[in-house]
Amino acid sequence: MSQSSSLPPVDAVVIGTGAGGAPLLARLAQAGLKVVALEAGRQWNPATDFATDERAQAGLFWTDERLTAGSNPTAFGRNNSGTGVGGSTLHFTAYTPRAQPDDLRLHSEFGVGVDWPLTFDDLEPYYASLERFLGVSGPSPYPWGPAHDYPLEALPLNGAAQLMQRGCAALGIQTSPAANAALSGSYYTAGVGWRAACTNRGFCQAGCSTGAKASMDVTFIPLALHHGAEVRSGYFVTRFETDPATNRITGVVYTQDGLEQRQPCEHVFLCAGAIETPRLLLLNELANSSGQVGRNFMAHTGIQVWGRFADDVQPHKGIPGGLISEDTHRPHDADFAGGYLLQSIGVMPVTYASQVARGRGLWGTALRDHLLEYNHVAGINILGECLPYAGNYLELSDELDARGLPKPRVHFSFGDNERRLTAHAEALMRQIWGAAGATDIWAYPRSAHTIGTCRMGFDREDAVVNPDGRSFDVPNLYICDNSVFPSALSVNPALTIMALSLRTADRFLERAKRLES
Amino acid sequence: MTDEQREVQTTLSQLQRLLESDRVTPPTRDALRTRLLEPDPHRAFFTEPEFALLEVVSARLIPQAHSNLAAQVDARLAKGEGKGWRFDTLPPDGAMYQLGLRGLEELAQSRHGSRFAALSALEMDKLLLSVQRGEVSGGVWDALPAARFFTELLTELTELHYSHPLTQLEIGYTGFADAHGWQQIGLNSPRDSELER
Ligand SMILES: Cc1cc2nc3c(=O)[nH]c(=O)nc-3n(C[C@H](O)[C@H](O)[C@H](O)COP(=O)(O)OP(=O)(O)OC[C@H]3O[C@@H](n4cnc5c(N)ncnc54)[C@H](O)[C@@H]3O)c2cc1C
Ligand code: SF4
Repeated sequence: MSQSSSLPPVDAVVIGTGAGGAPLLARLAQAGLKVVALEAGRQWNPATDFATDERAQAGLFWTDERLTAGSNPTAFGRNNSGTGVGGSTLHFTAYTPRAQPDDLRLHSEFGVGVDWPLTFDDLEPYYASLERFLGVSGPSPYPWGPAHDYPLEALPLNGAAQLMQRGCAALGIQTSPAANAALSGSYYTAGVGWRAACTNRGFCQAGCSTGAKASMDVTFIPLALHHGAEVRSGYFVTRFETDPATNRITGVVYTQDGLEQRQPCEHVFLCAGAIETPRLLLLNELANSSGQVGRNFMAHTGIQVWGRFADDVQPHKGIPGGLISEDTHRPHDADFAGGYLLQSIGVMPVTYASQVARGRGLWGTALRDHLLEYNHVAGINILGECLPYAGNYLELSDELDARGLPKPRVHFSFGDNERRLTAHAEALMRQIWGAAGATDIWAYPRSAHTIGTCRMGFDREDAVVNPDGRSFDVPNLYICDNSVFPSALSVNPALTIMALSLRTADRFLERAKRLES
Repeated sequence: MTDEQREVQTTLSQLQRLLESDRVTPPTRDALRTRLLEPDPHRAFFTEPEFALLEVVSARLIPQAHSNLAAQVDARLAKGEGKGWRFDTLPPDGAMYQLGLRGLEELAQSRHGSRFAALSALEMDKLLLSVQRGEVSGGVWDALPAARFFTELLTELTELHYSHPLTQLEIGYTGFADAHGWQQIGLNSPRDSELER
């Protein structure tokens, strides 16, 4: 590796440009700060780079190898980890429900897990402004939680969504078109411009080539650039330089094409996702006086139930994130803490075939026959609460990756709560699919999202960052991504990550102003 | 030409028509054409006997593949690419496959006194099934979790096979021809006649 060279200093370096990094990058630039984002992945041009082909799109996923351990080892890569300017939002399904107020008070309500160090009222204004800025399509009013409207009409329902509607109606479960951050009509935002409506291609999980889906690369990144931010893609951060006297970070070291560079800075916003963020901190032995870096790893319980229908479904058409029910947010017959939501799933062929191989173990003619029915399959899944446990954590292994850095090892096992919740959900989804007319119903147990490895809290003894996202140990380090969640929430995470991101930027700016006066 | 070959020919011409049309975006066309036309990569990772065995196993798991799946696995391993994660209880993918293949030979020897490739299809399938069920022990299998190895191999071959545009057409998937988007997306909506044979 060649010698490191140094660049002119900046006010802030943002590491990672996903749901946690991009919104605050834009907000800081808007406030007039000189900010630079360092992103390990590529800058894509969706119109010319994105093929409607799952294998060709594999480059959207983080493929540096991670070791997965425990009795319910969680899959990484395509399951939960993206890379590129836009991070995992490049391939997210764009379900954007808000958390409900009680989601943030799990411990008060059930005596397990922890409460968030902030309330729904702290997040609500950010949810509302995000929904306007991203152009979220959804029902008005939304039927669950505190009432609110969406700026755009709900998107049309595809076959899987209609089947879930049919099954739920028969059982008296309320459903609704989901809140989805894909545009149901063309949409204008200041600083970004016009974005075209969704054309129902159904390829959201392998990259949206039309820009209809509000991934960060077509929303907050253009806004940040508009306000003068700089984004350097293909830059992999490896080290922090610190001043031992003040404990502050003085520079961020990264490599590009094997060349080492140093970016001096006043502040650092670490937004590399819930695996790479704690990994970087552990590698640098930084911000960990609480011993909580890498601890409390959580992944949503995410069991899927599939079935075959006489109807022609064509499961690849329309946004895959179509229909939702939050009737199971706090089920009355629950024998577990928390709850879950139900969502319909569209599916692309390779993803489905892969799950059939992994989940059903079919091969030879049995596999072939099953896949010949591809156009007749539809699925539902849940996203459910997951509690933090001492045995679920990330550590550095002694195996090195291609960059010469230790691979992370993540231990994950369900506890009783996750097992009970999953059993409840599986029974219900089987009933729904039965009522909708499915045959050959089968369940694919899985876990989704990487959550909680740098938890936020009031107390420096058991949290890594304070409620503003600021490190207790390193005064000029902020963390904002899925790692700061103290509990998993029974909803998809991205909208809440973005809300925290904007809030973290605002708290930082307010503090800077206070210190100045 | 057999009926089956004739059917593949028909599917192939349908596919080529679709790929030339404006219903496929340029990056999609590039990706699928490459996959359709590129020759199978040369063996670069496995030894010759390992590779030959992998081809035999692959033909049991995925009969009627449209490309050499073993060659594509080999190429991936030679490039050091992966899916981004690995079970902690398994060695790195390349070593895992090599061990598992050796384990299959061991089983063929101990159960039938023969090389795996010389077994009948039924015998092969029975052996593979006992590996899939984890009902094997001794030798390699004391170190390698059999069921996990089987699932990893099956999943990789399955993904490769269903990534092939001919396979996709066979299962009635034309989602790659989406340059104009889709208007009819609900249940039982009429198929676009241009996309049908
Ligand atoms: C298939 C799929 C579907 C999903 N669907 C939904 C959904 O419908 N709704 C929802 O809310 N969520 C969904 N998610 C989850 C959502 O995408 C993530 O929760 C969210 O993007 C996480 O944000 P983040 O900021 O924590 O990390 P990311 O968005 O992953 O961003 C982290 C970024 O940091 C970069 N990085 C990491 N390490 C370094 C380094 N050392 N140097 C420089 N850069 C680095 C990475 O390249 C990446 O770009 C889905 C995820 C997947 C995989
Ligand atoms: S369904 Fe809509 S949002 Fe999703 S990839 Fe297609 S055009 Fe984009």
